[in-house]
Amino acid sequence: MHDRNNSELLLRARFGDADAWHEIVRRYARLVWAVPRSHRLSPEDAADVCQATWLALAENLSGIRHPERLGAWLVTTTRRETLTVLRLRGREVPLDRWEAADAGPTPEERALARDAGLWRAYATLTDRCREILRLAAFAPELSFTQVAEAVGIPVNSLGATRGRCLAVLRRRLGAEVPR
Amino acid sequence: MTGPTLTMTDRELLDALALAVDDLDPMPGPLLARARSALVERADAVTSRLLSDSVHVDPGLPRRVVFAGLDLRLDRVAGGLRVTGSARAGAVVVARWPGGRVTAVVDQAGRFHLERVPFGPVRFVLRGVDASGRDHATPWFVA
Repeated sequence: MHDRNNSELLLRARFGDADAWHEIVRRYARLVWAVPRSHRLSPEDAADVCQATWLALAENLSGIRHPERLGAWLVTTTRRETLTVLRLRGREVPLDRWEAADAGPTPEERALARDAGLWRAYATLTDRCREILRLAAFAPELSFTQVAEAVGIPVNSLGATRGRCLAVLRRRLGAEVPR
Repeated sequence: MTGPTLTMTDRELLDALALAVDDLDPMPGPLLARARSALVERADAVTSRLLSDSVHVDPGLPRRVVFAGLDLRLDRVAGGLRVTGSARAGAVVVARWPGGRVTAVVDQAGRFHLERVPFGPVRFVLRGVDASGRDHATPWFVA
């Protein structure tokens, strides 16, 4: 199944081919998981959101009009439910701020224990930066247009936004250089 | 780890980030199994479109979610959700979640009541809506 393209996999899954479905999940599971986690949803809520996305895809196998953009469809669907659950938990959908959020990063203790400076620097970024960089890290095949649509910012500002996020990440990594 | 990252190209830095994320915030194993089993949860039903969700207006409880032909009120109680609602048509309403369901009869006034719907992904299915025999179902959402 590894050599099948998305169109073939979606068609096969639609007719109940479990192997094709498992291959779709294998390809995109990390990307889908990245969306709620970059918004700091708890692992439990994040798992619920991801599962809702997979259930939605299973239900819409014949409705994916651009199979080559399945990654973007999954990100958009997952992001919509992520924002809903953020509100459900009484947390405002964050504005596009450039200062570090006050909330502590989640898997921090593990990171501290393992000297994971990159993760620690990443965890201090804004939700928007963490989302954009995590999508760029896991799905380099997503075009600027697809990422911009998925995260809801104008496509002509995504390049600059991504650049600023990377610059902030590098600055914070610099601040982490061992004394 | 910290030193070399300062001289990396953007792509190298992003690849290093992917590795760090995989190491420190991996997708839980049980979620993979849940994703893989989503295929068997499909329903051959007409989709009831989402019209409004009070969580986007006022996140205060209780949550009101309105679909075409179906109004829901979700109250969080110990151990799950109490769902009250009304349906414009249909004889039976089913709350479905992965691996389970609970069913209620729609009364003559169109009202129904469901208890102990678990938190997490859920959808609601209306049966006996019209002569076609097809169910009407809401999209999946996290309750």
